[in-house]
This record gives sequence, C-alpha cells and structure tokens, in this order.
Amino acid sequence: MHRALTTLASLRQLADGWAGYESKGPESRTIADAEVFAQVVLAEPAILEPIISPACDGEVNFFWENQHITLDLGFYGDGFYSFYAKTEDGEEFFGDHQSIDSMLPTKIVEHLLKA
Amino acid sequence: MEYTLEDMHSLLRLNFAPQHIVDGKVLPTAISTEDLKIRGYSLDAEPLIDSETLTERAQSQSEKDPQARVSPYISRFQYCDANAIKIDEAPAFNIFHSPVAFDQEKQIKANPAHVSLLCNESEKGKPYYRKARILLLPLLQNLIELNAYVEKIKTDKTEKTTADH
Repeated sequence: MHRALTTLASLRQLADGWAGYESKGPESRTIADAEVFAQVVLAEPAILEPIISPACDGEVNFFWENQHITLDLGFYGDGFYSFYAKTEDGEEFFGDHQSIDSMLPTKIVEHLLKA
Repeated sequence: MEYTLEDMHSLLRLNFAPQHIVDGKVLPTAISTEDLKIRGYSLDAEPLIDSETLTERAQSQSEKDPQARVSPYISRFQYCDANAIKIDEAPAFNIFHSPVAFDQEKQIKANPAHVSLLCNESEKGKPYYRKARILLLPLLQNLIELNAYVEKIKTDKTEKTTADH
C-alpha cells in the first residue's frame, strides 16, 4: 500500500495543462478520494497493487490486468468511484457512483485474489 | 481539404513511456474517457502526416514534462479495426477527418492530418466509456519507436518519389 500512496502523492504536482492544451491536473480531492479507496482495497494484502496513473481529463485511475481479470477503475473527486471489469470467462461488471470507502463486489475481489 | 478514411489506412497516436506506457504496455489513461465522450480522441491519418509534425510534437510535449515523457512511441492501427469495435452489437466509434487550423492564441499548430475518434453514444455513464477504452486499448499496443517510425516514412517517401520518376 505504501507504494500506491507514494504514487498518489506524486500526482499532486500535476497542474492544469500538464498533458497539453485543455488538459486538467488531478484535483486534491480526487487524489484524496483515491487514497481513501487505496486503503480500503489494499487492506487485503493478497491483492496486488494496481498501476496508478492520471488521465488528461483529471481522472486518477487504478488499473489491474492479469490473466484472470481486467479492471479499469477511476476517481474524479466527487466522493465516488466507477469501474468496468471483465473476467477471464467473459463476465462483465459495471459500477458507477460507488462510495470511495466501499469495497469492490465480491466476484471481482475473488478474481483479483487469484493473481 | 476533404479526406475520406479508407479501411486499410493507418491511424497514429503519439504515446510516451513512462507516462502512457509501463512495462511495454499502453495504459487506459492514454485515452481519456472525456475525449471518447465529448471532445474526440485525437489521432493522425498516416497518409496525410509528415515526419516533421510528429517529431516537433514529440519534442514540444516532452519539454512540458520531461520526467514522464522520456521515450516517444507511435501507436499504429488500421481504421477498419477501430471501426469494427462494437458495444451492444452497435458500432462503438465514429471516426472522422477533423483537420486543425492554426490558432496563434492557443498556440495550436495547423494539422491537416488530424482525425477524431468519438463514441457514438454520448449520454452513457462512466462505466460505458471505461469499457469503450478497454476495447480500443489493444489497438494502441502496436508500438513503434518514434525515431524508427520517422525513418520508415522518410524511406517510404523517397522510394515513392523514385518510383514516380
């Protein structure tokens, strides 16, 4: 979890314009939301840390990809996260307006734990 | 200039390691969901692009964040492959030529090769656009180092000129 929190802290230096004209840096509250969720999801030590990266529209993204699941999950600073996941057997999961202190659906967690 | 995209034409996107590419793979955040939903994801049409434009763009973007934009790569894929992506059995994207005019105030250079890729659906929730970019992402994984790509298009142009004569 330490590495995830360090990565999130480093995103605070990104200002508007960091990725070209009209790009937005992640707002402090977006990073704070991601930090809360990181502490929820990574409290399960068997879940590998995601790749954490910013998008040019202000999103902070957590990305997990292994042979069992692809999970694209992100924050925009509104107190919620949204996600799309697809498992190895083709099952899809869609989540929107998920509270940042809420854990992922059990089936997704099970696939993350397989990695 | 009117330009019609054809199935076998290649589309290009400049990506950088480590900002967009980690362990040799392009990340989802190389495609912003806002671009897919509202603004259009910017690409270049290979038949219209020149090497100087790509090189200058890479240099200019790298200077803005040299630590995150160390190594420039071109993601190259065919128009027909992006056009074939479907969600709920309907074509996911509208891909169209959208040349950019010079804008001194915004410091935007003219780009006659500019192409926009936009989701056909504009009223869906965030998970829909996450799915759209996860479907598009495999096409971006065909990566060519920028310098190698520039050399290739210079060589191709020279060979074409020689053949024309």
